[in-house]
Amino acid sequence: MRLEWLRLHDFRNVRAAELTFAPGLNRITGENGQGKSNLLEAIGLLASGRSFRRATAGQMRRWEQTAFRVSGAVHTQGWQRQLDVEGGSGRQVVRLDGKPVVSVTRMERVLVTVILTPETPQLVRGGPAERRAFLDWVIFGADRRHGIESADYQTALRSRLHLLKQGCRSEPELEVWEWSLARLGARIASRRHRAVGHLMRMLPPILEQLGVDPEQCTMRLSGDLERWFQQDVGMEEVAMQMRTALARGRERDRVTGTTSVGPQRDDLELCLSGHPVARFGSRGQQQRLAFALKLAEAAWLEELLGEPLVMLLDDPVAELDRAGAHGLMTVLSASGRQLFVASREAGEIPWPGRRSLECAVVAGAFQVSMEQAHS
Amino acid sequence: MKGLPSLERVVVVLSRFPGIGPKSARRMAYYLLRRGQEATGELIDALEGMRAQIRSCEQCHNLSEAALCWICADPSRDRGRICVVEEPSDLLAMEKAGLGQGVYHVLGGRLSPLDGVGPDALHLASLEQRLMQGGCLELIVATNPTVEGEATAHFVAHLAQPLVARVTRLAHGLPMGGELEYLDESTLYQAMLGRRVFSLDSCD
Repeated sequence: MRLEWLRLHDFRNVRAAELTFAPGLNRITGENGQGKSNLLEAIGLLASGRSFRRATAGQMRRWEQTAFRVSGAVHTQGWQRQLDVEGGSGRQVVRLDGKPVVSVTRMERVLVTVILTPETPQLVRGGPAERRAFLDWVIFGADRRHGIESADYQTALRSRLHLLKQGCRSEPELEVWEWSLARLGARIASRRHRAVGHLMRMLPPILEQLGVDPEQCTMRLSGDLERWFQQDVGMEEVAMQMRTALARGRERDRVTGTTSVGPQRDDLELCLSGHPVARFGSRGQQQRLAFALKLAEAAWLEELLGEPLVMLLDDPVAELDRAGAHGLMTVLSASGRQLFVASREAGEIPWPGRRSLECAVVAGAFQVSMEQAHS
Repeated sequence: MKGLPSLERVVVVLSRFPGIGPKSARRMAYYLLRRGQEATGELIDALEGMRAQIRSCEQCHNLSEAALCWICADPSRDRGRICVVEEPSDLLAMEKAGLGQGVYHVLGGRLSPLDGVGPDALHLASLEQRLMQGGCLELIVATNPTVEGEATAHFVAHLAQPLVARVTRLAHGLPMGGELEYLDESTLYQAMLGRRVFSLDSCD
């Protein structure tokens, strides 16, 4: 799939713009604060109906304007589809081919993007919650049930803790919530188990191209349920074991106010030469691994979609050395994906491909030029 | 207070209704004013009648205008089959669908510790008593397919299992007249899990 054109109206610092893009690399260049990321944000908004910078509609509309509009045409599965997002005050409206889409979670996957930003390395540097959220997001892309069941699981977690804190001694009452937790927890953990399997399958060639020895890099999901799944125990059995563990952990959970067993404690552990990258890796290593994870996500999504997706990269080489930047762009140019890369100068982004488009941004206005390779 | 405080009060009260916003509430209030004394009197009488008459069925906690509701009072009903629902509105939905050969038990809610609803807040003790009297051959648990509804179903099943031979629950799955391609994934998944053997002789 590829984004053919994009129209912006009163979006961030852009009054009005219409841009046509190249199928391969699209460089977005400009000094800080001119609106490079805004362009990426607009594309991401068309894909998912929300801002990857977690901005509200009010923050995305241009200063003193009532509403913004972003439209784009996507070439996918052999034909063209149009997406529009309008927002700013009141409800945000997403339209596909002119018709309103009821809910963003039910949106067809017309435009699918994977985004790398300067915050992406947090995936490796940050706490386990970042990695769980990443895994859950990856799964949600393939299986919408995961979102509903994760929310139900959270309700059940809070319900049981609430009962414990209130000193509830009613065996059957605690049991029903533990039964819910075990049933939902086993399903969540089993999906994570499978998703990690897919990511691991995609990872080795990506690591190699980013200059990380795949033999030295290990990734595993930690957690009680994952351990049981690895012993080749069925889903029912895992749920039973979790129920037993919950019943046994009641007193401790009441005191600590947390739940000591379940997928809410999972972590995706990444190690290089046996050492956890989160604590012992260099910043460059952390960034490469985080990018590798996102690229593995993209590769898996593409397997499901059956066509290349679109990647958005916001200042991707900020912390990479030359070899790292070269490796990243080589992987990407070989992927056949349409790329949108924001950086201060075009020269920062090595590009082995032939042609690319450069879009220079100054104060929300764009200057587009095609450039031939000067490898 | 200046203006029309008595009218404002009506608007405030009406806008508390589900599905009624301040604008609709205002339209309703104006309508009553325009229709005059008679319309207002009719509404007051209707509301007073409802308040005086409607109570909870002594047996099943359905809404009723007598000690027993019209279902519990109906001798043709099959007392061997009790269907457990969360709210009287769920009971009415089952009745409307023509599924009412048996009798009901209305719990009056569902377990939700975060909202302070525990087993004691539901009509579970009276259900247990009913079951202990014997005569119930099948208990059908028809709570909503939400996480609280499922937990409630589990609680009811646990309570009923020693007392009733057969505890069943409603199937989850395909809506009739729907098309597969428009169903959400979770409904399809439940329908797949709950699939059953195709019987050429069965009438359902």
